Amino acid sequence: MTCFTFQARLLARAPRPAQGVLAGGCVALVAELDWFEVQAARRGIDLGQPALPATLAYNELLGRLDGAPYDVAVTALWVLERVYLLAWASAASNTSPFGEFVEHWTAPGFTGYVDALGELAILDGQDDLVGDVLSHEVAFWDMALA
Amino acid sequence: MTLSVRLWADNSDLAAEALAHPVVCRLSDGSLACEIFASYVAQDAFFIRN
Repeated sequence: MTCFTFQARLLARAPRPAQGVLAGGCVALVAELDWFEVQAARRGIDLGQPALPATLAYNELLGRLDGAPYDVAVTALWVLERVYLLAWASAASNTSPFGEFVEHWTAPGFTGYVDALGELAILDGQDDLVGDVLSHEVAFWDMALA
Repeated sequence: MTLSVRLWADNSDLAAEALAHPVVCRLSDGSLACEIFASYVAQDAFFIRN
């Protein structure tokens, strides 16, 4: 299951107080897809490449989380987004040729969204879930070097 | 300590591995090959695309 579908379905089953944050995330993801297409065209990146195993495994994890209780799924989404934000924040430097991407993926709006998701992550006793998501994130980075 | 902070702290090894990943380091120092970056972006787009 793609991240967009996962988030849209999570919004559909979210309790009323969480709907604003999750709806904002879905809108941002639509804009993100537009941004990807602009960047890809500018830099000659082929977005039609087939998915690699780590990508498929991450999407499969989202499919499993789609069938998990809401509290589990929203906590997983927070982990996914937080590690992504922190990784790109770690990559920030004045010399990186990828500064435009670093700036985009550490923008205040995204930071605020991740913080708001942290407020929704209310599940206790889910260390394995956090570890599972982080493992998939590491595998996703590993894939880039494979 | 909030729950979200504790959940993160309990998985600090994996979190540190992600944040100190060689790709992240090479993004920072500018040594990441453009082809590798392009592949990452394409996979990231696939991951989120509807």
